[in-house]
Amino acid sequence: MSEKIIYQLQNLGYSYPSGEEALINISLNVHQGERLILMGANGSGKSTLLKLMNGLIFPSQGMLYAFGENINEKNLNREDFAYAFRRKVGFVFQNSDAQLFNPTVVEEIAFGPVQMGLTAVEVKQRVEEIITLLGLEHLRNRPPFKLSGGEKKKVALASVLSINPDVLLLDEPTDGLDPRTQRWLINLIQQLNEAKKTIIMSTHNLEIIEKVADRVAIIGEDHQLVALDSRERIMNKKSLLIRVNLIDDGFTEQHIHADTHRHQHLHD
Amino acid sequence: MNEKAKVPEWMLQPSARFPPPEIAARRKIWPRIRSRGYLDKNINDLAVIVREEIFAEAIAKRKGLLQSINPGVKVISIFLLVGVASFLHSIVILLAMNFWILGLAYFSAIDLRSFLKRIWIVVPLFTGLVVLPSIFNFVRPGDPIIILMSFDRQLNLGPWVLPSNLAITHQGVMGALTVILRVSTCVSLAFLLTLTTHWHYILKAVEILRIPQIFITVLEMTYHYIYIFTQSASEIFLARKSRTLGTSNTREQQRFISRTIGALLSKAVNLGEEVHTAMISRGYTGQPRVLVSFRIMALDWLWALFMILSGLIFLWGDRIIV
Ligand SMILES: Nc1ncnc2c1ncn2[C@@H]1O[C@H](COP(=O)(O)OP(=O)(O)OP(=O)(O)O)[C@@H](O)[C@H]1O
Ligand SMILES: [Mg+2]
Repeated sequence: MSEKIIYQLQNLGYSYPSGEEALINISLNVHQGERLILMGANGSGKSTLLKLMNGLIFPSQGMLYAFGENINEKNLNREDFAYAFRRKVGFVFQNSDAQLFNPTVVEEIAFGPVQMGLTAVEVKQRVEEIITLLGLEHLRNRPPFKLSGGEKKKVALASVLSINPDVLLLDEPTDGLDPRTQRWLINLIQQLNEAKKTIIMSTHNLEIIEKVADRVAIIGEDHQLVALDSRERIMNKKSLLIRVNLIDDGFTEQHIHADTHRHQHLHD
Repeated sequence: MNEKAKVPEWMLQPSARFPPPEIAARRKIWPRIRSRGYLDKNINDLAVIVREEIFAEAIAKRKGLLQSINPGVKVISIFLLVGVASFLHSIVILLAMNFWILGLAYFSAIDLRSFLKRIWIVVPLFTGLVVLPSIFNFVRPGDPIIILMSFDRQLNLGPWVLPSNLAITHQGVMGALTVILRVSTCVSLAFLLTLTTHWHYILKAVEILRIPQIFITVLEMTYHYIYIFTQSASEIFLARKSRTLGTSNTREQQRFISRTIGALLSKAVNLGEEVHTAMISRGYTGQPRVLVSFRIMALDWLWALFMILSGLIFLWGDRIIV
């Protein structure tokens, strides 16, 4: 893992226009090429944090730097800045319904590359490669909003991968995927990470954490950062995991081990 | 999904440079700032207003004047005043009525700034394009205030004889102002009602007025539909922003809207239907049920009297001032 810091969050706070406090005083750094997992109970603020990191909403308090640049409204209103930033950072929304707005799957995937100014031939090639990679051949001309939940998720992922961002923000990416597709996605994430892509994702799925995380950040139900540490150390603090409502008492030691065990087999 | 498919070569390459190299150099000289496109801003504002404000029940829960009035009485009295507003011609009286409504809003714990903002984002949508042409003498003849352009001679366009100059007329401006104020009065009244009343209570009140069941069901579905529509609209705007490379201009936005509006509509219809079936599955029969009974109290009688008197005063004022 390279030590270059790409995200710097300093005392970050966010409140929605309706007054809902979603994040309070979050400070953390993200290093280039690392796999950071955000954990936290429902409503703790994971999705909000990812939206902030994608420059879709802007901090109410504190500062957010990406690649040393201040991510604020003023900067993102600059055309060249926004262009470079959106190419650099891709975001797969938690709710794929929200993300899909083109008439067909092909157009959905082509949206980004077309805007990047690639030629028609290049766009077509990119779209085809992505379609093959994600196995979306049979959905090619369907309207995205009429697909099944898992299919939507894949199309949403495809529409972001086609931009080839260096940083992937994934909001509960395995949500609604069948086990085989989940495994495949984890595999893909690992391949992308080996190609030096930085992965920041939220999940409730402890299995994914076992397989993907370098570090884990936990946001508490009070919307503050509770812990930020290497995966091993976080996963060993069972009392912490229980306290922030990530596992309950019914969740036994054995369960964690079962996961780690299965993990061994997946790699071959 | 294809387990064997290999990640394409380009995906393994680093993407663009960020920050763009020119930025650092240019930053100190003059940051190029472009405002958000007109449509982006307005559609988003509108969606946020509908979602956060009309549907928000925060204000309806506060303690205030209108919140303590029986919903049935409130609905009838406000309909009455909307009727009154549509009879008014005098700009002075219309203005007075607008201020009077602001007063009611103030005593109902509504933040006046956001109240006014909400009204004046909606009013131009209803009036702007329709009313604007009528201030010119080409559309509506009258006494000129400002002459914008003079031509050498009268223009003959088939049966029409156009005046020899283009001007903004006194009559035109007054007419336009009247329409705008009348609409703003009605919109303010509507917001006053929806902001201070829980939606289900409004429906219930409408039912008390013996409006047919089917109409209420349609209203209920419209409500969900609008909610989902505006929510999807603002989510789509966020999603597009996330994948938009560079700020987009108004023309690009127009194209985007025309391309996605179809998808958006079917999405909202689908979801709206799903919500309706979900409601039915949980025992909804089309009859809005509310956990409180509507008792008419002394305060409600006072309120009704106050509203009727106010309405009469506005009508009377309109006749003597003009
Ligand atoms: N559009 C919104 N308007 C107002 N409040 C919001 C909005 N979106 C989220 N919130 C609130 O902000 C807080 C954080 O929400 P967020 O969606 O970030 O949580 P999350 O950690 O992603 O939860 P989940 O695990 O359920 O996805 C919650 O209290 C939520 O109610
Ligand atoms: Mg979330």
